[in-house]
Amino acid sequence: MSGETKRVNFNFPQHLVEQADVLGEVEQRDRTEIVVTALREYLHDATTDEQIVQEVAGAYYDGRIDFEQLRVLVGPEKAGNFRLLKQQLDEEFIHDVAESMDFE
Amino acid sequence: MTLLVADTPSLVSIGCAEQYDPSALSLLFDGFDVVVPQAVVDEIETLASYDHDHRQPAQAAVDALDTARIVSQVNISESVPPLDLGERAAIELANDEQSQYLLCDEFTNLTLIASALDDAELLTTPALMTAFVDAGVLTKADAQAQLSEVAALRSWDNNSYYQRARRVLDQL
Repeated sequence: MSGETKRVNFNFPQHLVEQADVLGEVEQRDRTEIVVTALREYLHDATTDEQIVQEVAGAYYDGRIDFEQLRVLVGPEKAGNFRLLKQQLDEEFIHDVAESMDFE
Repeated sequence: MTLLVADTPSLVSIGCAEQYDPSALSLLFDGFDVVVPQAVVDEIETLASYDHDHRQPAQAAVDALDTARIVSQVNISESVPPLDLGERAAIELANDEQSQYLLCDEFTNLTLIASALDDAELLTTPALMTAFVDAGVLTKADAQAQLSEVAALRSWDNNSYYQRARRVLDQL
């Protein structure tokens, strides 16, 4: 593990804890390492799954998560793209585009 | 008139709804001074000549380009990111012409493209359609119908930006 750590409390189903502990004995890893590995793999899969990424972007467009939360989840490049796309639909931007047209 | 440089995918997208009256394609060319690099024209003509799904909308875009200014020689600077030739030429032209907008639907490369633009603002097709409604030149129903056609062509149904654009359009 690298970086800062934070102590959190979770209630896990008992059988999952037992499975993790048995695997830990076999692999000579502690319970925390196994949970961290599992969570890291889940987050990697989730944030590279296009459907889930689109759901995250949707939450950002709707204002349910802010840009910093978006960036943490999908990385700076995708987050930057989603921010630009959100700006496209700002009422003021749309109005400015409409005002810039000339149909005479 | 306001200068707008357009990229290949956007023009082809808007071309898929040319049967509407008014069409977003005709409004684009009526409402803006559209300028495109020859590289974009070449890409659209190629799509019109062989690509099955894009042949009709690309041909509509080719026809509409009759009224646009085509710039044959664009010297692409090294600072323009390594994208498709049409995209790179469109970015360079937007900078050279100091255009107000670059019409571009490269949703996955927008940050990269924006970083290469001097003053031009990015404009996507869903935002353009919404602006037509805001300007009172396209009904909400017609914009919804034409945007649906674009989404079908571009397989945007599961794209959250398209879904958000639909909601914004619905609420106008």
